[in-house]
Amino acid sequence: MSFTTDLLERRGGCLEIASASPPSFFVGHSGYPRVSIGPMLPHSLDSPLEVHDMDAPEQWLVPGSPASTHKQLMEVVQFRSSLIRTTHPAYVKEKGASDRILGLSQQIAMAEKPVATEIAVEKLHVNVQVDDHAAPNGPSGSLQRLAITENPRVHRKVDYAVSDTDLKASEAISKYLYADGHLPVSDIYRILSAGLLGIEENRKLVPTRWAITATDDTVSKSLIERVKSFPELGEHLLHESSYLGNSFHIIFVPRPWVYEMMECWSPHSIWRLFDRDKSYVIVQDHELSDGRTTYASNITGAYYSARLGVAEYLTSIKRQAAVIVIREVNEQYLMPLGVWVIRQAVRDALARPPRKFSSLKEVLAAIAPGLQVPLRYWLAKSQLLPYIRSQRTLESFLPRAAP
Amino acid sequence: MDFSATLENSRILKGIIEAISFLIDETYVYVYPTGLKLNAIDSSHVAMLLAFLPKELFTEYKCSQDSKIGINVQDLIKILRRSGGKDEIQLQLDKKDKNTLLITMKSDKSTRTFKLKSKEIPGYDAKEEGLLESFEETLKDKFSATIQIEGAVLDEIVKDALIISDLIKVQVLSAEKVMNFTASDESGEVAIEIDLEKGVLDKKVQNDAEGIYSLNFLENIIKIQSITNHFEIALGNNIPMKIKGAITSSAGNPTDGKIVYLLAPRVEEENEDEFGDDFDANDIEEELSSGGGEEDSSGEDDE
Repeated sequence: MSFTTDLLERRGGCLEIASASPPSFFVGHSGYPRVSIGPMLPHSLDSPLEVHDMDAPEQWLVPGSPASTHKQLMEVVQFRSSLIRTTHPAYVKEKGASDRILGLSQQIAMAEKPVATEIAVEKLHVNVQVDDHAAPNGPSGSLQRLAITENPRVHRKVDYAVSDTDLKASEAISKYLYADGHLPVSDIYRILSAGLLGIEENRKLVPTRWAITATDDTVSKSLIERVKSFPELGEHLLHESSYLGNSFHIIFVPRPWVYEMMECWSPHSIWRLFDRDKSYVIVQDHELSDGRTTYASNITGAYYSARLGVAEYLTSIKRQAAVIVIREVNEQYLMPLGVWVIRQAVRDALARPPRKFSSLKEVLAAIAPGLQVPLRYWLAKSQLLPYIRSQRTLESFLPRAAP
Repeated sequence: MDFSATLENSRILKGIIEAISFLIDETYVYVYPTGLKLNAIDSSHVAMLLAFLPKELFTEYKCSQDSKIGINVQDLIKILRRSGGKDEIQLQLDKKDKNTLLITMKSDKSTRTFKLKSKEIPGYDAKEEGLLESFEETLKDKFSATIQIEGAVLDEIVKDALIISDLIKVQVLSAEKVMNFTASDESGEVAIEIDLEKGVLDKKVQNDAEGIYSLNFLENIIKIQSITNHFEIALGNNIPMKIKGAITSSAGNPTDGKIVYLLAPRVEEENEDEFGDDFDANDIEEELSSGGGEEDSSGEDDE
């Protein structure tokens, strides 16, 4: 990793940096409920990205854009490692009013444009941390001083949702910030993680990785409620895409809403390097029309990120369907980069024209040649395919209405 | 539009609204000069419920024209649960605001009035009002067996089956004069045989009948025993099962009141034309169990 220091100044035991936070704010999860928080800002402007985009995964793969514009794995690692993550200890119930650094961090978290920020950090750890939920993080340093040197610009809906201390977090997220404010998911979870949403007494800092999944879950759940009132899709659709060694095959079956995700990591990927057993291990989670009451613990956060992409798509076409997402991860996915990869790749697959079929059998026959793991393994693992194949709907017994 | 209806107590209404709450979150209450109707189809379109409360069930009933009131089912349950066993319940459209349902609970000591805003239910198909009737019309010639059974007997069957599986196979054999219930999975099986001569209240069997149904729905259906103590089950071959309960007045007199469930079946896969022979589940199983080398253990090692 190149570590350019054009914005750094060493003074005493501290490194001082004057740059701009994209805005970016991170809450670690270790030690919960005593966590480490702080804004992130670049130590170098030697990045192919605008400062704002360094913490905006929506810009790293713009759905439907040419593949040549999609950020590659090493590019992501490179620009993420040029962000310094500041750390400041905080108890999750701490309020910005009583902890100055937290208060300033919250102002940064709320901003819609980069915020000119000055920091002094000590004990810089120069490394890259990867996480299966959050995007990779670069060097981190203990925050000694934090100053904002301009007035952050705050989106009107953010201002409203943060000021209304009687507004439930779920409503703030899905209605005010997502539906009305059209805020990107990455802005919403940053604000949620900063403990700025919800009913006053329930507000607390939320570790970034949990905030990401909570946001994907909350937004998609509210979209699905609407989706369930739409007419059923008229045909079988197959959407496919591939990004950073992740291939997605997304099947839509004309039926009332149900959802399943299955994934398989290549037995030859570095993650399974030491597995003596090189068999295909498929993991699976699903939900029927009435949703889940438990966490999708096999697939974890990716389940909700993919579900968001799917729910957005069905909302846009005003149809409901039974949806099965198949994800294959090959050797090229050298490290987990966070669930944004899944969210953006699914959105990208759904932004491209689907292949259309008249039966599930045809869809499966079309997928089979492109799969690394043979189709029969997916069929054997799926819980929804047998359900879709066998569970009749009441309407299927009504004489078909004349077209 | 004037609507006002009084029940001696909340038992029937609470039972019906609770049954509906297992299927959906919001629904319309249809009010007619002849009585009150509730309708619900679950979001997977597998189960549907219709309840009709004729005006005879009410101690007072006034309705000047057909109308519908959109309600949040959970809100209404919460309110009804606040009523005491002896509280008289009155439903009324607010004379000042026709979009408000007034729910009044009267006891010797107090009168409590809740106001519930009526709401538009998005995506609600106007056809749904008469949907159950269209199903009954379509299916009526396809039911080949109709059995009257005590609620408590069905309750025991469902509870037995739930130990083993989430699906139950229901079978009526006309020659053997039995009704069989079977639930099975890899862990085991339970088989329950009911003698059609002795074990049921009444029967009309023209032909054998059979179907597989989701126990999760049946488990909720039998909870309406609080308002009806026996069920009429109509079955055919791999068609929806109809379960009907008659609602009697509090004095025990028969009325036109009813609660009807329709439950769509699971149909075993050999009838599935979408997959045909290429995707026979048995073939997959065989391949998995006979395959060797790298690919032989998919599935098992996930746990």
